Amino acid sequence: MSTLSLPQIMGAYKYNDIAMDAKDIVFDKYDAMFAATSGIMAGLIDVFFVGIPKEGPLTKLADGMVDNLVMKAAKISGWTPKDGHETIGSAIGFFERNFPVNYDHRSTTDVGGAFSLGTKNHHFKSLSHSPDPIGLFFSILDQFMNTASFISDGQLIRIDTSDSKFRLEGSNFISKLFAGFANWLGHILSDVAGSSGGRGNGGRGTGVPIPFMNLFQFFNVGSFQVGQYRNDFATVMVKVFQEGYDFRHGLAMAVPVILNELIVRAFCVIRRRFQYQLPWKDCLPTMKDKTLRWMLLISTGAMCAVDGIDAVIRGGGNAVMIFLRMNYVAWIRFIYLIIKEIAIFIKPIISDVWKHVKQWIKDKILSLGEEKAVAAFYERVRAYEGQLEREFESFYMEVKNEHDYKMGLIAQLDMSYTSSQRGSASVELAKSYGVNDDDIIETDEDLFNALFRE
Amino acid sequence: MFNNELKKNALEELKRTKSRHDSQLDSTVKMVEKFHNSKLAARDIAQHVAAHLETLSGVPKEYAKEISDIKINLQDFTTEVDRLERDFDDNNGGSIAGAGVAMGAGVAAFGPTAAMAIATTFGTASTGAAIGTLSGAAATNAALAWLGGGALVAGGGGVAAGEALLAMAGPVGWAIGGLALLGGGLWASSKNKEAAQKYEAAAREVKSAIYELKKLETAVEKENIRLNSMVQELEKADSSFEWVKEEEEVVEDVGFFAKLFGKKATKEKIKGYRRFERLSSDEKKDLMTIMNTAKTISEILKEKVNKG
Repeated sequence: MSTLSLPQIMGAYKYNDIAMDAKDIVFDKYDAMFAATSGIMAGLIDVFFVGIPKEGPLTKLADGMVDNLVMKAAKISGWTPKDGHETIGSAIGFFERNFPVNYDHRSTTDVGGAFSLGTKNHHFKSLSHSPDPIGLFFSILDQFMNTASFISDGQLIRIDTSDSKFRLEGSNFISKLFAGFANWLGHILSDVAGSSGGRGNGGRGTGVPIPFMNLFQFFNVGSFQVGQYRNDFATVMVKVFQEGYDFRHGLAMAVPVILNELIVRAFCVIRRRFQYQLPWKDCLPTMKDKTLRWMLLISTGAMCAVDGIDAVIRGGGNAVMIFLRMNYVAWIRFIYLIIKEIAIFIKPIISDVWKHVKQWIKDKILSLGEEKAVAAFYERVRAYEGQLEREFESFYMEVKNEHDYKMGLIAQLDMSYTSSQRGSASVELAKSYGVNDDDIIETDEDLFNALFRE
Repeated sequence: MFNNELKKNALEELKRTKSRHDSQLDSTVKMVEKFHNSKLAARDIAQHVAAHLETLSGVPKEYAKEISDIKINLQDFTTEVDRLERDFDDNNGGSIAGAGVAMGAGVAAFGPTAAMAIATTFGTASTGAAIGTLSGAAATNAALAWLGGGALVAGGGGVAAGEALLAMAGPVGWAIGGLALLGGGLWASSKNKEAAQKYEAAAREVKSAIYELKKLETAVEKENIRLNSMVQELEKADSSFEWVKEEEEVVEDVGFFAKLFGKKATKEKIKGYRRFERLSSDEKKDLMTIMNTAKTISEILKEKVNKG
């Protein structure tokens, strides 16, 4: 097998690949091959560098980044540590002191035995601790209503907190809303890197959930092997969180996913610019481009395949260990891409079906009871047509009689035996057409006059 | 519910009727064109016969009253055709070829002679706006509008013109175009009923127009058959009549002829008279038939068909 140098490869292109427009570019086998390769590489990065919480190098990196972020945020917010006390524990303590909330229950006792709760899972079970729009919504709601919202055993549970010392700052609705938002953010910063106590003892601490992940608790279905026990899916996910599968680990998991996206997009740009020779402005692909969507689908799918195989193999049959090794970010991205593709495929079908449904509603539902009116309408139409038809028949007979008479005379012009008969027929014909009597030639004298009289 | 179904059915009926009207208009115009062409052919044969009569009598056409009458009718028809042709040309930048007008989907484009055929068959006076003074396509449009039920646009069915005129092709299409805009909406029951009533009224008018066209077509078709038959007979009689006979050129008793014809006793006239004298009784009857038939044909060319 001969090896081509780069200039040779460049020269081998006959420039017949030059595209006039981005839409002319079709998804080809090279796109597929590259996407799959990129996905497998990203999957391997996930396997070897993300791994499981506390162990993977990328997770440790993410932990450090979040610590730095929390300390910087604390400083901006007014944290002034003494020399030698500039620790993450101190920074977390600053946020804990300044942003207390009414929904920070940590044990079953705290919630009056309503459900099972512990320090390691209270961030996961509390809806308001989630760093996403749902968390923000419940945090504001809880602060305004003096309640605390949790999910446990597949149920949404709300605890009354009116006996707590917490009071929402602000003199009007807007200022209270702002204070509520600040509390939510500040409190998440106090929890994202673990608690001051937990970090103070040198541990990793329990962070906050990955966005939307606590909603898994609503799915208390199935039966999964966890050690010697069997748990439903919601319980498995709680245990997975307790093992450190939190927002920090989520950041680490996002790294191979983002890397894969960047590589695939870069490939698209390079191909468009240098192979298809499109102007730069047309080189950046969007999700409207089928090629990019399909490449992302293939690469993310390949990544999930590597991730899934690794998780199942190394999980040793323990559901918690399997999910712990799974890349939530990659799988969510993959599911999103599949749904998007399906949506694009079925959108015209749905729109067509909807059009028919609307028409059906309009025709059948909204027109109920109109049959009589419609039937009467057609009866009138038929009656009028009948009247016109009868009028026409009578007209036709009139015209036909006249025509038959005149045609009889014309026939005589040809068929009569004698000149005299023909002459008489011509006289009748002229009369039937309303020629002046004076102008009709009936006798020899008339003929003479017609020819010679001036 | 809400009379929506009624409105829908009424509109559908109106559209169906409009489509029938388009076909009927197409067929009627084609028949009128056929009749016009028959008239042109009839004029030619009648002119031919008139020339023979002149030769026979030796009397210049402007003097012999009967021949002159035939010729005047023929000339009137020729003048009308020429004038229309000239007007079309002037207004259309040179050729009547551009006078055709496309009537939109479902209706064939009418030929350039459509307007002229309509004008000569029904008369420019009755066709309202002087069709001959409009440019080609506009003239054809105006002629078709008049023939196809322009009255509908003007006032029928309570339809306002304006944008409605532009909405659909064809004179009746103009009317429907306006009606199709009638709103009401899905929920407005009374408005839907009102719209349905308007559609129904318009459909009745369009139906009337269809039957008017059918009547016209029937009348013109029969007249066309008769004209063609007469032309055939005249042609036959003309060709079998012995117009010129080899005769001895004798001019005798000029005084007698002077008494008979006055000062205009020309040599040709005398010759014509001698020829007439020698015609047999049957030949005289044949000549009578020829002259009466030519006169009848010239009358048909002069006449205009009445439109309801």
